[in-house]
Amino acid sequence: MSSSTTSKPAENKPAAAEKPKETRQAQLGVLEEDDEFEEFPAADWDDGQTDLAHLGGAAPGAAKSGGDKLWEDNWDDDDIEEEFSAQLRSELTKVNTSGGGAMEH
Amino acid sequence: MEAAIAAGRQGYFKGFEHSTMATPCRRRGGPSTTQSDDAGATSTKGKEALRLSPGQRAREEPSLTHEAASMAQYKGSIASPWDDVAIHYVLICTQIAHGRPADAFQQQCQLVSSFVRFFVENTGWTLPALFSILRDLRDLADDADGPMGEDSKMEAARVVAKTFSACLMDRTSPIEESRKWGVYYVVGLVMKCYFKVKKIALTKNILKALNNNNEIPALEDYPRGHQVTYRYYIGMLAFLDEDFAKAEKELTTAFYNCTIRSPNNQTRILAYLIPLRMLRGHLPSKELLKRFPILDDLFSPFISAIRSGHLAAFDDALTTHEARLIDLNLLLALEKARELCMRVLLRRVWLMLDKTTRVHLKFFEAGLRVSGCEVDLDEAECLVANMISKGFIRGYISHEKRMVVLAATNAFPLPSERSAPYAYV
Repeated sequence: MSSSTTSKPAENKPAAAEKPKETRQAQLGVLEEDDEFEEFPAADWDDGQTDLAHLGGAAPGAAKSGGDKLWEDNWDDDDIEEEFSAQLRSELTKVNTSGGGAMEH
Repeated sequence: MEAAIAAGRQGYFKGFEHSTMATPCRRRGGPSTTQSDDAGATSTKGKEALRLSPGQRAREEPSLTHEAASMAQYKGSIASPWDDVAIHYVLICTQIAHGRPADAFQQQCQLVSSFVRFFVENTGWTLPALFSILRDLRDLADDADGPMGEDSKMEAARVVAKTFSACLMDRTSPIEESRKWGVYYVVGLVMKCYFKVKKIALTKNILKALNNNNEIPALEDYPRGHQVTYRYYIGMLAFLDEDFAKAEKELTTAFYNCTIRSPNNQTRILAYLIPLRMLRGHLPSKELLKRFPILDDLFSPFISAIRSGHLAAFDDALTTHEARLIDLNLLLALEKARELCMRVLLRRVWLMLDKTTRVHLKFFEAGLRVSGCEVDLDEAECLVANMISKGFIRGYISHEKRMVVLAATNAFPLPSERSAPYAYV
């Protein structure tokens, strides 16, 4: 009972054991509701131990991710080809022919 | 349960020097007990130090009184208040050893108050010891409450909040030795207490006191651990308050300053930062998700649905993860991210029509239908109108002709280019 919330190891928690039924649910591990922001192993550290290098000197949270490989701000893909594309294309063609209207006016 | 208590007990006996009984963390500073040699005047007070709380007396009177009495002989054997602190400490260890977490917690409250009497009259050199005993206080409160209770944690929050004032009200120490260097750590701990018992509104007072004080050093000058913890909780408060712009700013700074040696904390920050950035049109890269498998599991279904504009897949992911997302308070943010998915779908319809500037609504209606969204022409018009008003599409709708007239250039701007992206969510 009492110590269970505080004395458990911070990592490698057997999250799966708690919710055995939800196999395909995301295993939240450290994000289980009970968990909380942990004490840091040291009070301070330098830039080399952070992800700041990814920013390449830019301000964090800038509108453009620039050289930051952790985020993509331009992810439009004009050439996706999967099942969904085929369905979409065929439906649009159907609408185009059955409706009698041209695609362009 | 026995094992848990034993583990806790062991941890505590290792004690002040390195770790708390709860979190296997390394202590930054020295133990308050070992610093006692340096302390000031000899004790003349402290009779109350050994007084027991009513609860303790009722339940454990014979043994506790005996323990306390046997310790009393050590009073004055070292400089005050360290004799009190040491006696409390030994009694706390005894109580933990006897499986009395509630008594241990009460005793720790008294230890804190003995310590604070010294603390407020000196510079901030004892801050590491303060942090250490406050961490122990909170951990003991957790154990005293058990899984369901919250009274001790509420009490712990109040005690910690009092030490906040003791840090803030330092008008005499030179700045480099000021007790003010403790404020952010202590505020972080108070927020941690209130988050744990889900009473986040109670953080308002202490944050107001902090923000109204303009004599403390800039947050950036504090140790990174203090900064990141503080920003995480401020970001979380803003997120829960649906102030997404502020939440993103704080959590972004927290993430980039967080040490990569605390991947669990990075995971916690990103769990909220990723949805916030998605709303702004920034998707997490594969490189980022690969480092955090839990987040990869949770968010990848949404991200791939957004990339392909597949609303049905997005809605499936929402249904599948609904319970977890509610637990994490993330459902609302991800529901709002559905608009990105809608945008990609409408854009793909437009691409397949060779980027024409005039698209009859029936095409968008068909696209929505294929994507699992059963709508009629009017509903499709309404959805498109929403997307225009939110800046996802540049153009207008001719209602009579049921025609969407799109801008000749940049008809579907990148979501990341929208100004004030959170204004419409």
